[in-house]
Amino acid sequence: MPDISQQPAPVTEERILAALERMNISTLSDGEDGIAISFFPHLFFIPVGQGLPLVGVCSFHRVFDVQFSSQIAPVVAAMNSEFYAPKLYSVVSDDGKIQLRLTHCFNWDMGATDAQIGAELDAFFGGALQLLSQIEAAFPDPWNALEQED
Amino acid sequence: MSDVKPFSLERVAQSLRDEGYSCSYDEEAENVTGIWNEISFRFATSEALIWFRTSTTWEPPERILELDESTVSAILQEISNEWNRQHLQPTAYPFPIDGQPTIMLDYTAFVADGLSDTQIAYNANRALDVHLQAHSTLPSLIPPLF
Repeated sequence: MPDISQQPAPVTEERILAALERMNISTLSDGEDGIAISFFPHLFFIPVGQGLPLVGVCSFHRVFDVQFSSQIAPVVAAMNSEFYAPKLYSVVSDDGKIQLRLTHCFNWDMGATDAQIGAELDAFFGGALQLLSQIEAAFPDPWNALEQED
Repeated sequence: MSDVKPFSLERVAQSLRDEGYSCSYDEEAENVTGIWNEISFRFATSEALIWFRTSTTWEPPERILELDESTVSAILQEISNEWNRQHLQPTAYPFPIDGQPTIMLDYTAFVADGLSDTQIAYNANRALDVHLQAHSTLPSLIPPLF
């Protein structure tokens, strides 16, 4: 049987904030709901204190009209096949827009060392930014393309 | 101090055996396999031991497979997306095996900085739990017209 006394300490908001500070990543104040991190134009969020598993989430910064759902679905599936983490899924809002969201479940339920917290945050941000960049490449912003043509 | 040690599939196999599960560790194939509830589980790692992944496949019912290829593909994408939207783990995505449409299910955990024995046991057990939940839930996510 593992020695419980030697288990890594529980992961708290304070420990996540300290890990982000060691990584020189600044956070945005978000009241009591969690930790917000901006990698412009993307906003990441780590909800804390809600009795749920600790996850990292982010939404792609643009939305798509629902008429493009048949083009978006295979891209989402292909990215989930390609990436270990985070995972990607789409949601349709009431006004008929498709939003792409990504989620990663941190491996902290049994506690974690400071090194584990920092390394997983780093892997999450790295994977997520790479995934978001591939979404941008698959669905380039038409206004951006017009600017580049000028 | 904690008992965090480098991650290895051998430790996963030992943890599963300690929990009473019979499994096979194949050093050459770099995986651990086992069959529980008639579902084949495969435990493996990414390159450089960054991610630990537990995979199973879900085969859609015959009435889906009888449809044309593009319809089957769209249905499996929809089922996968719906699962991913509602559940944290495992990640679902369409994945053909030997030309047969299936949904691949991956439970992924970060292990690059090592894990304690308790963390390994937790991940192995959680992987089994969420996979079994996915296999029992996916049939209900088939769009009603099919």
